Amino acid sequence: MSNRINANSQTQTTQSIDAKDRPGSPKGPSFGDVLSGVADAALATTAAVAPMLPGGQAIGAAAQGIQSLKGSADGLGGANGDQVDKMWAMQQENQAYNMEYMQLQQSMQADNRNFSTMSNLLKVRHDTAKSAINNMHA
Amino acid sequence: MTNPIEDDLARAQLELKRAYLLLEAGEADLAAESAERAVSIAPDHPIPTIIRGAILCAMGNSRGALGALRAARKRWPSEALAHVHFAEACFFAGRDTRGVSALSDARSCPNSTAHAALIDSMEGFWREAGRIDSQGDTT
Repeated sequence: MSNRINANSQTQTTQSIDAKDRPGSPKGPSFGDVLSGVADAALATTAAVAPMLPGGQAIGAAAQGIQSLKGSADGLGGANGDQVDKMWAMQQENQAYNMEYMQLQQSMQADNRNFSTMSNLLKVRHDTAKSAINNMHA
Repeated sequence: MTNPIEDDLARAQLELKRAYLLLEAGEADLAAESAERAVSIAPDHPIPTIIRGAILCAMGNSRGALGALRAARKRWPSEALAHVHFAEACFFAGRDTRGVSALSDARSCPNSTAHAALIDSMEGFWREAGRIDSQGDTT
């Protein structure tokens, strides 16, 4: 899966550079154009893989939001207040998701540790009893 | 020529093995009965009494386990296993201070090295459960 995504994004990036002359030449694209191509590919990839990640809906929505902002205005400075508010809310939501997943992960790690300790005690307890019974002598 | 003491020990050993198999099969009451028979066959050997106490503790009968293991500790004070299982019964019964002290008694027994793994695991488990602090005291 990741190979396919990487291949696509690399192709798109290469095409956006090769389509025009090299940067620095009189007819060449500006640094902004190149960066814009790279950003488009990265956002498209992020939006595509987001549903497979934890908290992915929020990430996907955020990526699409940034793409729409980029399309409708000349950078973030051109975005209207409503769009910025939406992005801000999405970022907050994403942060909350991340926090929730981190807490869940910590809780699972603690459970796993407790399980290992208990399992070890039960094994040692059983082995000790078995050995004590086997070694019973007058 | 057979030795009656050895014969009794062999019979008691068989009953204890049966008790453990029954316990693992979920037949706790039958396991306790088997351990009880082992004690009555070899009352002068520490292992049947200790194992009976440990089985009672595993069944959730902390009161019965405390009684059996207290008697074992009194009669065989140099037997580390009696102290460790008594400590376990104490923790289950909520008597943490007594449990910590029993673990300490177990460590000072002459045969504590043979049971070091059990003593360490027991202490580690109750520490992780938040019942013993890093200094080895109750929390």
